[in-house]
Amino acid sequence: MKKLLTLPFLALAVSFSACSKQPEPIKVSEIKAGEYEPKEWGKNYPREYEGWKATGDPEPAGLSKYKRGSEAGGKVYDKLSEYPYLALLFNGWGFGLEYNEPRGHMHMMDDVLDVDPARRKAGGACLTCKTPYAQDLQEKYGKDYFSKPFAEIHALIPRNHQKLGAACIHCHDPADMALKIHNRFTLVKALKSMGVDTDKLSTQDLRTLVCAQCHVTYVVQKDKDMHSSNVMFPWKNSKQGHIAIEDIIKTIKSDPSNLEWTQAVTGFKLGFVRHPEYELFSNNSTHWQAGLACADCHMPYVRSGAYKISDHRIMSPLKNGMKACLQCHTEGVDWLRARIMAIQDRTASLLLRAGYGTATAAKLFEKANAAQKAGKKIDPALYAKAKDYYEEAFYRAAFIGAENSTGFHNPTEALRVLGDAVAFAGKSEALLRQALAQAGVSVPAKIDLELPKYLNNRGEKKLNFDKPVEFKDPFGNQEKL
Amino acid sequence: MIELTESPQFCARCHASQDGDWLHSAHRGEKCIDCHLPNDNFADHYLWKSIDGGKDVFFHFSGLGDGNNTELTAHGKKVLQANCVRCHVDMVSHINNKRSCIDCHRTFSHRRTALTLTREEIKE
Repeated sequence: MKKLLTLPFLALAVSFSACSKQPEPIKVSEIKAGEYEPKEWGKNYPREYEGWKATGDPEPAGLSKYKRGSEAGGKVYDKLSEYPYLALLFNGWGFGLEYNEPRGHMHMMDDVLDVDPARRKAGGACLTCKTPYAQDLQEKYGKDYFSKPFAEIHALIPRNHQKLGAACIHCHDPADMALKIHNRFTLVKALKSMGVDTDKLSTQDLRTLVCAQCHVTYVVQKDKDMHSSNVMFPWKNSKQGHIAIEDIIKTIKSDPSNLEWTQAVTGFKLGFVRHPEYELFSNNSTHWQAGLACADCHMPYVRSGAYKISDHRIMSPLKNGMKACLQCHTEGVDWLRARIMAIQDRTASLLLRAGYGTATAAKLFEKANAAQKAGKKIDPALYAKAKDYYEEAFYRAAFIGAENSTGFHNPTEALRVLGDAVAFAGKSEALLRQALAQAGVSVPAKIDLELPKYLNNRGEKKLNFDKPVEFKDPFGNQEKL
Repeated sequence: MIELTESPQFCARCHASQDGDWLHSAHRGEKCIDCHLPNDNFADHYLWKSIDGGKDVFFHFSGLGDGNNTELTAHGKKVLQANCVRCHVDMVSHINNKRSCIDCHRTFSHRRTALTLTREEIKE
C-alpha cells in the first residue's frame, strides 16, 4: 500500500526532472580556446561569418547624409573638409593632418596603416582598438605595449593576422558563443572604476558592452616624457547609464598625464575626446531607457534560411532598409527616415555653431598670446577665466563632433551638450575681447579664422580642402555670424 | 472534462476579448493552453492548469477580476517564452532565447493584434 502511494509522486518527480533538450547549432569542427582566425569560427557559424565579412563591402550610397565613409564608390571622406573648423582646432598633431570618416570594421587595420604616420605617433597604444591581439600584447609587454613605436608592436602580431581588425573573439567565447568582453585591460577596468560588477552582466548588457570596447572615448595617458603609458576610459566620476561630458572633462582635467597634445593655435596642452557612442547612447537616451542594446539596431535579428541570427554585417539602420527601426515603429521607412534627418540636421547646425564659436575663441587666444609676446599686458585673471571656458567648449564640441550618430543616439543630450559649448565659447570670446581691448589691441567684429592655412597642404600626403564634402548649416544661420 | 476545458471556446467564455484577438492572429491554429500553460511535461502542465484555472474561476466569479483586462504574471511570461521556444526551436537556436520574444514581436500581444494593419490604414 505504501509503495502504491509513492508511485504517483515518483511519476511526478520523474516528469518534473525530464528537462527539455536545448537546441544546439550544428557543429562541424571544434573552435579552440583562444582561436583568432575568423575562418575557423566560420566553419560552425557560416551565416554570421558571411555577415562579418560583408562589413568590407561598400554600403549603398546616398542613404545617409552625414556618414558617407563606407559608401560605394570608394571615396575617402575627409572629416576636416566636412567640418573645416576642425582643421584649426586639431592643428598641432595628427588629427589636424588627416582625419577621415570610418569605412567599416573590415577596413580598420588598413586604414590605420594608411593614414598619415603622425596619427600612429602614440605608439602601440593605437592598436588597442585595432587588433584582437591587443589584450595579449598588453599582458605580455606591459607598459612597453603602449609606449613602443606602433610599427614595432604591430610586428609582434602573427604575420597572417597583421591586417585583421575586429574579429569573432573580440565579442564571443569560443566554447559556447556567449558574449564576452575581450579587452579586459580597458573596458573591464573602466566598468569597475564605475562600480559595475563585471561578473554579473546580462546578455543584453553585453550586447552593448562588447561594442563599448572600442566605441567609447579614451585617454592615451602620457608619462613625463610624453610617451604613452596607458589607455584609460575616463569614467571614474560616472555611473553606468550616466556618463556625462561633465564627468569626462572633470576626469581629463584631474591629472596632467591625461593631457595628450598641444594645440598649435592656442598653445594649450589639452586632452582629447573620441567617438563616445556608448557614453552618449547610455546617458538616459530614450532607446537606452527602453532597454535596447547597440546590437538591437546595428545587428537586427534577420531570417537566414531556417534560422534567425543577429545580422553580423554591422551598419547604420539608415543603410539597411531601416529594418531595425521597423521592428518597433510601424510608421514606415520614409516617415522614420525623415525623423532621423530632422534630428541630424538640427544637431549638425548646432555642432557648426559650437565648432566655429570655439575656433573663434582659439583665434583670439592666438592674438592675445601674440600681444603678450609683443610686450602688451593681458589681464591674467580674464585670460585664465577665458581659458577655462574655452576648454569647456572645446571638449563639448569635440564630444559631439566625434560621436558617430550626428546626435541620433541621444538627440536631446547632444543638443544640451552643444548648447553649453556655444555658451562657453561665447563667454570665452567675450572675456578675451575685453582683455584685448584693455591691452589696447583692436579686434575686428568678424575674426578671420584663416582656415585655408589649416586646411591645405596637410601632412605627408599634402592633403587639401575638399570643398564639395563640406557640411553647411541646414538652417543657414552659421553664415550670418 | 479535460477535453472540454482544453478548448479555446471554454477559455473564451470568460476571456471573450482575448478570444477575438486570437482569432485574428497568426496563431489561431493553436489553442490558448499551447502558449499559456507549461508544456514541458504532463505533471507541470496539469499542476499549473489547476492553479491558473482555479485562480481564474475565483477571480471571475467573485467579481474581483476583470477577464477582459488581464496582465501576464511573471510566471505567465516565463511559461509563454518557453512555449515560443518549444515550437520555434530551430529558428532561435542561434540567438538569445531567454530574451522575451514578445518584447519585439509586440503584435503577438492580444492588445496589439493587427496594430500594424490599423496604423497603415489610418495613414491611407
